[in-house]
Amino acid sequence: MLPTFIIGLREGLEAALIVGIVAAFLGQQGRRDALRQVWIGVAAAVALCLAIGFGLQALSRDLPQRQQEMLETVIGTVAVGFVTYMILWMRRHARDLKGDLEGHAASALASGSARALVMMAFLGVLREGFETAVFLLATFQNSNDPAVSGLGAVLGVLVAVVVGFLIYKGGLKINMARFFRVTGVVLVVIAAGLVMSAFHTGHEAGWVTFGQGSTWNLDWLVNKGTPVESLVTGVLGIQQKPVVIEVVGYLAYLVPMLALVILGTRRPRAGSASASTPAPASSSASADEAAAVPSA
Amino acid sequence: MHDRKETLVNNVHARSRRPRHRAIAGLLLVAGIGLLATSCAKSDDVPSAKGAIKVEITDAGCAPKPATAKSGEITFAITNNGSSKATEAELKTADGKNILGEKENITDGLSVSFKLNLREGKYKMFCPGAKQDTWDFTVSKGKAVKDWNDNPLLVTAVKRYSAYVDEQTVELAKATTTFTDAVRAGDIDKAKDTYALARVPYERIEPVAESFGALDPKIDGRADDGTEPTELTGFHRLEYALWVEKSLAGMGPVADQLDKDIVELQGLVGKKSGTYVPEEVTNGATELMNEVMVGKITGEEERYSHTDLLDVQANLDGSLKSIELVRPALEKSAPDLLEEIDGQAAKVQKALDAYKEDPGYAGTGFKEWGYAEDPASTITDAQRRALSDVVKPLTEYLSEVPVKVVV
Repeated sequence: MLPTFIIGLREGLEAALIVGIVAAFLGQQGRRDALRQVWIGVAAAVALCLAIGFGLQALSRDLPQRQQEMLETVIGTVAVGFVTYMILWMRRHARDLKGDLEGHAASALASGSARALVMMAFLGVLREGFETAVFLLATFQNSNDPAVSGLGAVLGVLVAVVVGFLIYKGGLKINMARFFRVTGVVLVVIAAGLVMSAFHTGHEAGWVTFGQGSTWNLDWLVNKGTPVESLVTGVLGIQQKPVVIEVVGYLAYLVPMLALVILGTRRPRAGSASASTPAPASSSASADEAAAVPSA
Repeated sequence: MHDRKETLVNNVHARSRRPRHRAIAGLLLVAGIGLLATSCAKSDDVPSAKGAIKVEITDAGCAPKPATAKSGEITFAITNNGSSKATEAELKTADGKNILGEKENITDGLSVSFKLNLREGKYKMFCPGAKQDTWDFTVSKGKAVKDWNDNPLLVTAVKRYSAYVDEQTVELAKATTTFTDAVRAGDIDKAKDTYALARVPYERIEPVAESFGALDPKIDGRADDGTEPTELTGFHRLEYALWVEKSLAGMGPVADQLDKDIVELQGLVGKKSGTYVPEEVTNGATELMNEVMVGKITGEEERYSHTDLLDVQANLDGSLKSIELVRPALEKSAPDLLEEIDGQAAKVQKALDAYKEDPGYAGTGFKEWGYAEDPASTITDAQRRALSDVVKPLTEYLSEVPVKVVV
């Protein structure tokens, strides 16, 4: 039961994490309308993944692993962009949105950005969803002990969902100004993990064929087959035996972003409110959308 | 102030809600179809199928059994027997840089498989998490892959293609001499009337002529290949003399050289005779129609003589000859494609027939064409487009032929 639980948890966490962050962020902004869209998007993605899972089985076809890795790489890269955007957005707005910000918040996040976040949640589920759906079905059918294995896998996914929900709830409770300081660092670490995973899946997709020399063996941290592995790999994106390019990518993202977040918030500039006034909400959606999609 | 902003926000949402739904629905559809369409890997119901390489994942490792195989399609049947640490199996190249086949999330008791087409060489079976995570796998040379020589239909097609090219080369030599004789005699009218005809056999087998490298530029080099028209050799130098300079003065040596080059071509074609492969036959068909698209419809091939339409006819004939030769093989493997080609070829011929004339311009049997960048040309853009609209689909159908002509 444990092995399937761990995989269910790991795959589930990778999705729950992105959705949890997006939902918490939108919740912080008081965007209940967009939040509803997030849940619809998540439900749609789950339904789609299950449909594909059953569909593949009905046709007795395998999930094409390489295409799956390509999908994960692309969505993972997009997710890095989104999380980076959120970090930068919060960094900018944490300064002038100090105290009571209920009224401002709704208009601060332009509609295009909200829509992009909804899409991110949807993609976040799709990223691991196909693989998880196929895995769940397989455990119920091909295992030595289908009931126990299947139950383990389902429990793993459920725990991941709970964790995602806690991220969302926890994110809601924190005061906006502090939300950034506390969460900014965590988000940077998570985004750096996404960078590492993207390089990993990129290799499995056949796109990244350089820098595959081995570095350290992180057995002590990523203890395969234990729940710790699910957390470290699923949430922090850290591989058991990271290769050179994964470490380089990880650090290249982590170091400058951490510096930006930690150093950037210590000295609030005086009179910055006018400089970073949120864009008027009536500006065109397409312009907002363009601004909402930073490159990774 | 706040209220007003709120309202604006809500309005924006009300407006954008519908497209958002549509966008999500669209994405669902695309993702779903995409994944289904790419899921070409038919899963093996019996992973322990005969001849499969068995890979048993345990905490200790994932030794492939046997650790060698013959090149060709190889099935890896992977089973997890009690390992919670290793749940993934990958087949990598020896340098570890490329993953050729992979399965993830193989928990205890699960059996999966993947198939790969492997060449001889060294590979690694990799199962991250196991005590020994990398295992050697060696592929040795298997029995020779079946090739086209085993297909009598293709053997015949290639043999006939060879004969066709030989025959066209002989015709080319004859027709060219008629033309060059007129040039040497200083008979401008006769030279003009035999110029295009001499080029017909060449245009039918141009892909073969082009395969000899330096010879094609000598025979068929054009001014747009970066040379001044007066520095050209071959057909287009004489074309320039006839239609632009309107004088054959000093053209004797050019005519002699052209004859020599054609003889050389004949020699090379003779040597190549009998060594063709089916790809040359089928790719040639596409190349010829590409020639039409690129050089003839714009009129740049015969920019001085305006005799492009006869070239087009020759290209089409040469192209369809190839199809005729592989027809028996295609009828078996891709009858639908063959039908499309026949239908579209008829349309191209019909479009050409509209320009037929007797005796026609410069002995071609067709009306005069013209260079698109020549302001004096009477051929309209619409006419060019109409021709390219029928040629393009044919080119596309033809480009599918090489992969459809299977062994």
